[in-house]
Amino acid sequence: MAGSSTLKLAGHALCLGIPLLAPLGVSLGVPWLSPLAVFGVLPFLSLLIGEDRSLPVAGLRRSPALLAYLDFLPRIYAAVWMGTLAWAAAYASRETPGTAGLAALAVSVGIASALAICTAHELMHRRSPADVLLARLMASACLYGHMPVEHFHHHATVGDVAAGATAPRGMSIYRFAPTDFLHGLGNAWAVERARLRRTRAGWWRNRALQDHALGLGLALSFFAGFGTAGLVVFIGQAVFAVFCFEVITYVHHYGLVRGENEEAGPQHAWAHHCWLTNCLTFNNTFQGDHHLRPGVPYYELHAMYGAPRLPASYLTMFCLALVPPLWRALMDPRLDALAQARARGMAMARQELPEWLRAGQCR
Amino acid sequence: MESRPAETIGSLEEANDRISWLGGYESESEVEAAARQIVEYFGLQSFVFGALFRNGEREDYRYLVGCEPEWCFLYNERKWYAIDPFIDYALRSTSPVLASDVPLHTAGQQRLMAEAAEHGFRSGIVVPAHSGSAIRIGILYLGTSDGPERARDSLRKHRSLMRAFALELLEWWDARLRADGLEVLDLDALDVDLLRKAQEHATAEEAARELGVTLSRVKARYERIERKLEVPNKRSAVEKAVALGLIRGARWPEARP
Repeated sequence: MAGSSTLKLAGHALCLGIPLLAPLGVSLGVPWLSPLAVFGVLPFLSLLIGEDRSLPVAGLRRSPALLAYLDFLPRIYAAVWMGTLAWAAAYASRETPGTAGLAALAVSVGIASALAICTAHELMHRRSPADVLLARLMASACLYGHMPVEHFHHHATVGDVAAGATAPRGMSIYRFAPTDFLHGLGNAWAVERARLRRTRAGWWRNRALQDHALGLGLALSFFAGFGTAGLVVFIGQAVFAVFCFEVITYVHHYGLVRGENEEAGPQHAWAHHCWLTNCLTFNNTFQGDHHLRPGVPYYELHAMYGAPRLPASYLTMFCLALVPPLWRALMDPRLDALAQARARGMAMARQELPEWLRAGQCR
Repeated sequence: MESRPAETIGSLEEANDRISWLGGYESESEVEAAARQIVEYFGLQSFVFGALFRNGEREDYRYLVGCEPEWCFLYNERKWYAIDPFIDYALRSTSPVLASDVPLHTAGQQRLMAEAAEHGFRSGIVVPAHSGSAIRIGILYLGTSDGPERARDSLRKHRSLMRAFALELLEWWDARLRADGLEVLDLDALDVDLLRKAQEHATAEEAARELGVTLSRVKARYERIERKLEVPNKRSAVEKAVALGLIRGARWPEARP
């Protein structure tokens, strides 16, 4: 199954189900259905299905209809997610579900919003101004307005601890998440300030500022339209989504520090090419390839030689990262093994990395 | 590109639509066919659109032709572009004008006009089109084998639309040459982005952080761009890229030196 390209292409549409888990849970009387399914069931499903061994869409396989489907999926996800967000705020305002109910709604929509940030990431790398605008709107709705600017900065500085996004060995997620958020804000501000000074453009052209202002405007609109409950859901989902995204960034880059004068490469991102995760996240596990070819659409990405392997899928590692002692017990020995391989000059020679440290690859 | 109707244009709105569609056509023959319909709507029969591209000392002309082919052959063979009074007018002016109002200074220019009258340009209109920089200039000649009254009447009625028509044709050539230039030089979208950043006076580090590529890759790309454009540095690469139409002229005349 994990080797079938057709199934994989169809599987990308599974992501559309994640936002719908929130209303489904409410209608079934199981408000925590979404986190239960995503963090409880999907890791086991991932294990059962196995790693992604499908072929990327390239060459003769690029039929116009297939490309239209793949290009439109992130946009459709955006529409479904935005609808769910509005539904959740309206439901909270109408039904007053209490503190636990509000928390369940915020977390359920927040999971879909974390995936929305992932979707925005795909869209912001496209050349179409409409897609880029949509990505900025999505990031703004997660109160993560500086993310589109900061992410390009991250591409230029991957593996550089001083530039953020890479947690140094030993740092816990609880210290990393707020630090990296503020670091990202500072990076985006510095990039935009330099650009505006250079082009003599006014302060209102600062894209990070524009997008945060849009986020604030959306929060006020939710408050005006759905009252305090609507605002709580809006802010709650945004905080949860940003936290999730920071956890994934932490998982991607933990301890993989780039040496001085070392070129960025697949060795600077952890990988676990889980089929299900790839379907749900627009091939987000192919980080190594994405870092090398940032403009390439998600369906053309593939696994890279030299990417170190995570012990389990992103969803499992997400849960483990929340328990720092467990995380360190699992990851620090891997960092030691990588350091030894690097010392022997084998970091790029995937075949010579220990078996348990090798990421899977496409056929 | 979806196919467009080829029927005669019947209203101002339709003419406006047809002009705005010009940018979407891919081949010269498609543009020429659409342009013929627009010229007929103006009540005229012939047109020639000349796009002049200046690259340093060199001048390059591109044409879209909707007139007797013999006339174009004759015009080129006799090198009349060297004395054409309408080119001189378009370089200095922006207003559409009746061809008969452009003064002729030499015997050669009078011979040129006499031949033009024999080939469908007995009277006509000259419409200059200027781009954001002085590098690309367009000249639209609209002609009729009728007398000057027909041209005068057409200019009075359609003056604004003629300007729009000429500008759309210039933009079409501009986009076409930019695409051709990128293909011939084997430059990609990242190269163009980097040239734009260099035009903004961005350092390599700033370009890397704004475009999401590593500094070493940016430096390697700039070296490759300089090699392909056969220039010694980034500044010259930007100037040449503007001259070739790969990027537009600077919008920041007072940008940081």
